[in-house]
Amino acid sequence: MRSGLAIAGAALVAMVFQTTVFPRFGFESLIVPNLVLVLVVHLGLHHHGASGAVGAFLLGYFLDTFAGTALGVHAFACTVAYGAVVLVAQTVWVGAGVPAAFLVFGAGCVHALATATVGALMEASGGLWRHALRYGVLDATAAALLSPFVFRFLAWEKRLLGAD
Amino acid sequence: MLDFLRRHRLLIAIAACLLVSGGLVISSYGRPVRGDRLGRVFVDVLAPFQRSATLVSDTVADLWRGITGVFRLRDQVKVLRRDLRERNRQLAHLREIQLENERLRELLAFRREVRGDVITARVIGRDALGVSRALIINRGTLDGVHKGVAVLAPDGVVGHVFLAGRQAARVLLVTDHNSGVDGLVQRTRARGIVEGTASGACGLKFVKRTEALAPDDLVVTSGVDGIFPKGLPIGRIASIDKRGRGLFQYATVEPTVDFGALEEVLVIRSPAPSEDTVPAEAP
Repeated sequence: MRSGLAIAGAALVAMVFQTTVFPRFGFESLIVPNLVLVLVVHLGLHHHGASGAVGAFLLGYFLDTFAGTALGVHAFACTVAYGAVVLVAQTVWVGAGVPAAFLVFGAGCVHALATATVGALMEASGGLWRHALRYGVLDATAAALLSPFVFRFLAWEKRLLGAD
Repeated sequence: MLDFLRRHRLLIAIAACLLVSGGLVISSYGRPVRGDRLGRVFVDVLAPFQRSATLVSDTVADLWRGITGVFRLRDQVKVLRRDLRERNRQLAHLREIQLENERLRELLAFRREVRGDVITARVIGRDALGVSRALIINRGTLDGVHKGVAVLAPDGVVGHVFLAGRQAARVLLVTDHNSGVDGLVQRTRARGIVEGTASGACGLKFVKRTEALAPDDLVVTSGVDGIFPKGLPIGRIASIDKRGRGLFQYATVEPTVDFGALEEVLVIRSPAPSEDTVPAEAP
């Protein structure tokens, strides 16, 4: 709980810096350090649970509120970046300092790639992907709901045919 | 099932978050407005902090602009000062050219008045010591300037060449104590010899006591010495001395030429046959 509050407070300060301080002191619109992403990396390094993933998602959502127009783009990208950081953290020990900075850089690249991918998907083919994804998600949900029945049917078939 | 969920809760949470965010993207992409409640909450929560931060950053930015402005102004002042120095140098140069132009015009006008073979010369040096009064000019025998020829200025007699090199010559001024010019008091036509004195002025000697000299009388060349054309101003009588018992009186003459300021002179290489050359009126 305290950790969550600390992250929330840090996110607040980070967003204040990103929206008011940095643009004022030479960091023009092209280059604004993404401090929220640093918090996502922190979550990926120290919170390997559902709370970490939800925290990354919320941080991305927070970023979505103040950056860009489409809701969910940064939430998606931050979640992907969080997953990547967790993957790295489970494989390689990353403390603080330079390795963590490299990890932030990598997470930034993953975030940018994810953002670009989502943007490209949504922009491509006159919104075709949007429909494809929408119906794809619906299809997947429907398939998931029906999957127990399909699996049971397969098992019944195997028993009927005497297969293992 | 629960065990599965518990063991893979991280993956499931990530997948769920990705699904939710993907859904959000799909539902909101391309829409000009957004109405999500969570976003509104975030905006409202952050607004007071943003206001305060803007206030602080405005103040700091103003301060920063002031500091950088001071440095920028300092650089501008440097540039402007350098520019001003350059302008002043150019102005002084132009002023020098203007003055030289005026002097040369005056010299040219005077040259037209003087009959004979006359050339202009520039003063390139002074006497090495203070004992004698002399100038060095940039004309010599290659230019037809020989010893003994007269040297003049628009204001009057300067002196005569007493040593001529090939490219330069030394001119003995009328104020030198070895110099002597046959002179004439313009008003009374009284004749005498104008000589230099050790003090740097001139004296008019061998003027009859009976001649009525007066201060400020103009003394001009008589033309009889064969060097200076007649009627050139030499100087004005400053004081008269009749205290001696001899036949002559003595007068101190203040030269009309400012020898210290001489920069260009005229050299008469050969005087005109006629001696009535210059209408003398002192400046």
